[in-house]
Amino acid sequence: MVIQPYHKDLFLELLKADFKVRYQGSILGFVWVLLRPFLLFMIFYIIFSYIFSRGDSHFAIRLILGLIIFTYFSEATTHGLTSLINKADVILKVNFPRQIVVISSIVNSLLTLFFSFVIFIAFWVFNPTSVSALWLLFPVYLLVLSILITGLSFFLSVLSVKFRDMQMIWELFIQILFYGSAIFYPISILSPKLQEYMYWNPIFVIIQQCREILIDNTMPDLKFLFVISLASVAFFILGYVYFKRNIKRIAEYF
Amino acid sequence: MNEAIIQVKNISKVFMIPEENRNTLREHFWNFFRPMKHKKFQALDNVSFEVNRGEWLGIIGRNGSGKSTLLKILAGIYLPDSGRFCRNGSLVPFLELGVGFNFELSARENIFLNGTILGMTRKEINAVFDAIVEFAEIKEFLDLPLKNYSSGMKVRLAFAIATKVDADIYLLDEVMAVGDYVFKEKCTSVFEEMKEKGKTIIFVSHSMDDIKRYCDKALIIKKCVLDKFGDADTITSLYEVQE
Repeated sequence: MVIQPYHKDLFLELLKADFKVRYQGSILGFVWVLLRPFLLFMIFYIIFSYIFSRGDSHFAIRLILGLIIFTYFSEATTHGLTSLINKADVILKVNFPRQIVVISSIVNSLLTLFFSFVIFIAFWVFNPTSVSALWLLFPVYLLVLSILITGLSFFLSVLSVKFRDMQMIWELFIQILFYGSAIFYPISILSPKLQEYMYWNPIFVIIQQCREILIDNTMPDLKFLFVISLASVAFFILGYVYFKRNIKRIAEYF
Repeated sequence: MNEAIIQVKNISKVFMIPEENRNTLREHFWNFFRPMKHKKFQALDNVSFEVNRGEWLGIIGRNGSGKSTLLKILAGIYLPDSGRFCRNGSLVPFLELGVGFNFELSARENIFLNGTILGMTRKEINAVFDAIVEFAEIKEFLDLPLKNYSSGMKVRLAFAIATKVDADIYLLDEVMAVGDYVFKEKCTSVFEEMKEKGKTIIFVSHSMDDIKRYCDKALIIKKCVLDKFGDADTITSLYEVQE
């Protein structure tokens, strides 16, 4: 479908409406965005800081950074997954490029990420690490992660219309992924064999390397970044092709 | 102006209605090697017609005869299984009042939301914003959430937005069935205006009077086939005799 001038405005309006509705009407409103990762942080900090923070003066900031990045991934994919179902009423009545719906839901989570980054800054102020040019790599990681999320959402949004329990499966998967991404423990506690396997998990690698550049100030292994970037772009293209092929008849599955 | 703006040629649409409900993955895995039983439901069978630019076409038929499926194919929401469908102009679907209205948001926000969904840019909406508000008579409630609106106000607002979209073809699915006398009068004046501008309208209604009043041509859909197609007056009187 050809891009028309109104598509940009439609995207912005959907973004605005979803954003408002998500946080309007709740008493704490926008505070929830900051509260969620912070509460998670408190739980894990109270339970695990005694075991894992020995020899690591940056345990707290490492934990919150991991939580923020992981929350972005889990929220964005979950919203991406339900994006078509949630807009069923519009999709059944008006024809417009459906990818606008998927992308606006992801950008919404990206906005949330930016705001929750305030917590990271707050932590950083109390326990500063040295700022270096390596910080400039951070947006690159966010971009790669966002491309991966978008590719996944193209698959998930269509699949969840066809199989309604996709949502449950994905929730489960996210939970497993959470424990498998070394968010609240150092990877060194795992067996060498298991440590090797961890590098197959792109979320782990992204979190780990973001910690390296923002907290440890060490050069990450760019080989991994390269592979993950390639894989994400491939996933994005595959997802888009799958989406385009299935979207024309999606209205019949609702 | 005798140029065809919509050409529908031998369009058929079959819906596969699953006889068993296999919606979850467990059910899919369980029955992986057993082919799914489907009941074929023919929604449209070999329908052909043409609409010329500036013409008003009324679609008549009983509930479940395939009118909505036809409109959804015209709007590009469903793909036809076979046949060709050709459209030479922009189209605004108005299959339901206020598509995408969010009741938590204010009317002002909903005008922009619904307007962009129907294909307007923000700039275009700004240009007609006052006219929409005036038609809908909601000036003093503009910043109130839509959930506090009466159903009449919502209908007026939705209708006002949809008719301000600048397009060549409008699909109207029983818009007149809602609203009071004053609203109908307003609709009438909007319709006259559209007619003067040479817009093409496809109009579904159960009211023969409305079809006679506005439409040049009409067609009857009966059990998924096009039963009659022709001059609006002839078709409506035929239909009245039939029923």
